[in-house]
Amino acid sequence: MSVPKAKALLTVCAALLLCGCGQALSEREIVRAVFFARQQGAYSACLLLADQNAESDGVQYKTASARGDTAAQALHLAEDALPGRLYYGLLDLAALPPGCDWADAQTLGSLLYDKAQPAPELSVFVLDTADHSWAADAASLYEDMKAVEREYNLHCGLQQLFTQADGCAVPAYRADSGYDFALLAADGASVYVSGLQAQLAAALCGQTGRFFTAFAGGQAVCDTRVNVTAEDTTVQLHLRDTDFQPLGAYNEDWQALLCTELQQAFSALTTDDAADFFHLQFWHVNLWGPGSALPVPRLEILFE
Amino acid sequence: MTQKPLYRSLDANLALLEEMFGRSDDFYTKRLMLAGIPCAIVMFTGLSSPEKLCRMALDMLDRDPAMLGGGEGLCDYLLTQSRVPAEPDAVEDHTALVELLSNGLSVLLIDGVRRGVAFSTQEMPQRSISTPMSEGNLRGPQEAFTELLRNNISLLRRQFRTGTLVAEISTARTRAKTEYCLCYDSTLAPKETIDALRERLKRVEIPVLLDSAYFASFLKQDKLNLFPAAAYTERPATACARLCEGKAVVLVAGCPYALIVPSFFAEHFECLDDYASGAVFAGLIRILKYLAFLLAVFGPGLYVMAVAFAPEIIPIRLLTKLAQGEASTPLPPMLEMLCVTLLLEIVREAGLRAPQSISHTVSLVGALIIGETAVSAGIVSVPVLTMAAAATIATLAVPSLYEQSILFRFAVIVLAGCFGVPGLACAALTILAMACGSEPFGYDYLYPLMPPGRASVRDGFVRSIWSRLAKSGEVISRHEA
Amino acid sequence: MKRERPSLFAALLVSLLVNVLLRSQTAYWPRAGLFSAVVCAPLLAGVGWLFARSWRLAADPVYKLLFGALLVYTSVLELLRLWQLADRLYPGAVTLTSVCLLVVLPVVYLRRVSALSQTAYAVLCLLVLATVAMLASVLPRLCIVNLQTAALTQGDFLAAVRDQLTLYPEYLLPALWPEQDKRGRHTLLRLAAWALAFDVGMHLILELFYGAAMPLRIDPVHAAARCGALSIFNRLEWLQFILWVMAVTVKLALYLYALVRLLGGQNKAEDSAAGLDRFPLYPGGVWLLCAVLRKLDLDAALSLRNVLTWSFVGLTWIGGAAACLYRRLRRC
Repeated sequence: MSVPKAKALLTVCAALLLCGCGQALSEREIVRAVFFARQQGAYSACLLLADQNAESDGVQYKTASARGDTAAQALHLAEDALPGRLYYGLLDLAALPPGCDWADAQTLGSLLYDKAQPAPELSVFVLDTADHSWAADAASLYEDMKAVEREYNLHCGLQQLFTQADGCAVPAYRADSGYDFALLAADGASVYVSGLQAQLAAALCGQTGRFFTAFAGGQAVCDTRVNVTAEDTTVQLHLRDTDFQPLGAYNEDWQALLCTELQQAFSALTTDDAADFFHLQFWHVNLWGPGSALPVPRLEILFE
Repeated sequence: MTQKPLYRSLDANLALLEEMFGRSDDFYTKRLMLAGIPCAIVMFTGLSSPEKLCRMALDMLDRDPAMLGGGEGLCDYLLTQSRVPAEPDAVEDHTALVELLSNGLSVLLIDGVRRGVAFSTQEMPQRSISTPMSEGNLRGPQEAFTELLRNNISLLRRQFRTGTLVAEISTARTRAKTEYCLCYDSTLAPKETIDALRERLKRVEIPVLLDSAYFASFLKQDKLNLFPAAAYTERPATACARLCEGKAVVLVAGCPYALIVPSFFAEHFECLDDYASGAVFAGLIRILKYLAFLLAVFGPGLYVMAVAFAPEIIPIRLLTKLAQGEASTPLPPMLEMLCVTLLLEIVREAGLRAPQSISHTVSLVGALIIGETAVSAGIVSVPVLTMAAAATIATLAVPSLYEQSILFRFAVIVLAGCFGVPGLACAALTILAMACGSEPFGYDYLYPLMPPGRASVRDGFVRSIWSRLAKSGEVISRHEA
Repeated sequence: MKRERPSLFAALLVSLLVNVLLRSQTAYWPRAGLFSAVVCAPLLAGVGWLFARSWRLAADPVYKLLFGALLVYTSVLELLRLWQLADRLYPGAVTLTSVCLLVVLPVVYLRRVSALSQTAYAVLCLLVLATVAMLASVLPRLCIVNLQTAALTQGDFLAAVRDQLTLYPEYLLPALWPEQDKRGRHTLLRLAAWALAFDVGMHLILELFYGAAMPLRIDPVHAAARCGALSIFNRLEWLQFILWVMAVTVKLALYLYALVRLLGGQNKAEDSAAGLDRFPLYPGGVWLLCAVLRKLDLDAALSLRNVLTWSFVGLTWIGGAAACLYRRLRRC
């Protein structure tokens, strides 16, 4: 090899070694959660980041937040406030603003789809209406939401905002216990339900496999594994390993009480037909073909 | 050296030998009269034993009657009629004479005859047969090849007791006229493979042949390919097993390692213990070896890629620790990993080359400097050191692919460190393409691993139970009919 | 165990699967795709077969040059597509030059047909394993209720047919292979059937995952791989990307082999490899073209490639028919 060629090769090698060494881990701003809120017509976005330079052991967090006219603007300003390079690959959770509707959910979902690269499998919640200080509350909100996910076996992924053309269903965070459930129709009003109704809605949407809630006016707690099957518009709710814990006055027939309450909840949920949140239309069309009228749905509860 | 025939005159022959070896003190000549004919014995004292010669030949010659027919008659008598165990072929030229003398034979030169008679009186100083140094095995035969070619052939023949074992001894085209032996089973080995191998070995011309590995590079089809074209073993038992598969074994004089041709990738992950222990355990160990090879080659590169380009594959708790480790050291992950890996290689090389009495010191100092001081001084981080050490240890699980593991590891670190995920992909595919492109004598190098089939689980990634293995032994020529 | 007449079926199949894996937009509903695949697979195979027959009669330097240009153009598009994906996944980490370098570098070892064939088999196995892992990882997220129930319209079927009738150069490449009679029967049919089945299967998975949103999502396969619940660290994407880089490299190596056969003369031995001295021409040329065309609208360029391929096939058919007619006339 002639000298110039060798020199050129050496230069290339040295350039490769010195230039293309990626991004230092400690210089990355690793985003774990994104929270959106709406205040006085403007959007507020908060980024919860893993603090790479924390002295103590375990994961520590820091936050960056900003306000903007749109969600994208707020997010961009929050990003700008950080010195390092943003990394969304470990994004774990996204919280939509309290009281958001379908259009908001679609806009924010699309924004996250573009931002969140590569490969985040994140959970989506709707934030509660309480007034939060991002710096003080963001970490605990994140931990709480993840705890709700674990405890209630609940999961709503980002893609679930888009799987139905006529609406989407998202769990909503509540500070005290359990979770609420938001049914956001494309051509109708958004419905927020809570308690047993919220957990039934989550089960019918395929987002949970567990009921763990108080019923009968808070007199008992039901803990059961749940599975949903459908036959035309008859929805079969399979409850397995059901456990009742009385909290108040003793009652012999908790099962009947639960059934009654579930039936009431189901009726309330299926009254509004703005969107096919529970896929009843899907099963019916599979049996009878498109265009046939949807009969009144029924709930059949099976204890196993 | 030209093929110059022997002189008819004994004095002329001796003068020539004197001219060649006269300055060597171990060259021995002894003039004597046999049946009234002037003769001379020539030999090298370190290689041949005069006592042996005396015992086997001269005592008997003394008792033989007077010879009719002069020198030629004596020569014919010794070669064809006498009870003296002379070599059957007469020595007719100077080249052969020198070769035989160098091989430790004694030659009787007779006045008035253009031929000499050779006697196998070798008595060379040699290393006794010992246990293998570099191929550890718990079970199976524990003897290893030595430096003497004949001994090695005998070790092989002792294990392979059929009439089909062929051992073709030839002299390599080297300055030192080193002998080598091509061994194969005449019924199992494919003829065209053996012919091609014989031809290629014959064509090899190198100044010196000190190891069977010198041949390997001449047997490669693609010189850019880093995978070895042949495997090596110092165990006669392993060589014997390969002969049973229809492969050829090349032994080189002065080298205790046999060369096995053709060699496949999977062979590097096999050992004698695999067949002595249970199939399940052997399968597990074999899979572990494959994983160890992958760890040795890709582990450090994957670490560098994950830290510098794709942190999403690291759990968040570990990520914080890695970030803290990285922040406390001055170098970027790739350079840090390269430095640590290089340093470990230097320690290994120093421990290997240093005199045995100080090699422990070298290892100790290396371990202390790298393991303790460098970390506490903040020069390298603990995760990098852990990964580099794990990869180095994993390399030793497949020692026969040591060179390749090291070279590939450096390439993977550089490519993954410079370009991230596509760099790792490029490195992985290049290695895969090298393995797939390797064609030892037209055979699939990745057999029986690729294409995946019954053979892959018969004796590939794992091994079957013996009753199944025994049903149909693996022979390379089987699929060629 | 001994390599005899290595088959390039795996290489062709991997090259076709790349088109599905790196597609930037879902094209049709799987129900429509399933029906149209039954028609399109034999049709594509027939086109390939007819092309091979015509090629034998019509191949002259102009045709060879046109075919070579088509292959180079496709190589450039593949590289640009991969670069765009890489840039979206790891922004700023990879440049176009480095993608070109990294994808073309292993081709040095894939110049011989036996190496290419074996490597393609290995990559195909890895792809299958990765696809199974990906499917297993997204299994909890695949909901049957995400399937759309709206009645299919004629437009849906037309969209499926239009997409499936995209003529990739892979269907034409077997015409260049020597000893075509010994290549096994129905190679083209098997190739088209596997490719379309994979395509429809992927669309089905995407519909199960995305539901109504399927036609809107870009990089669907890549995005579906986001739900890495099976992976130890919950993330599989980097592994997917590695495999896709490998698959594109195999595709480029296949094109290089075809180019050698096209421009290096038909009399070359089957194991003909691009000589190392001439090899830099290919990556150099491809890199140069990539640099020039880096701002190309890929969707439009891919459509154009399809039109060009069909036109080239049509031209070859006409040439073949003319040559055949001329011979018959001469015989008369």
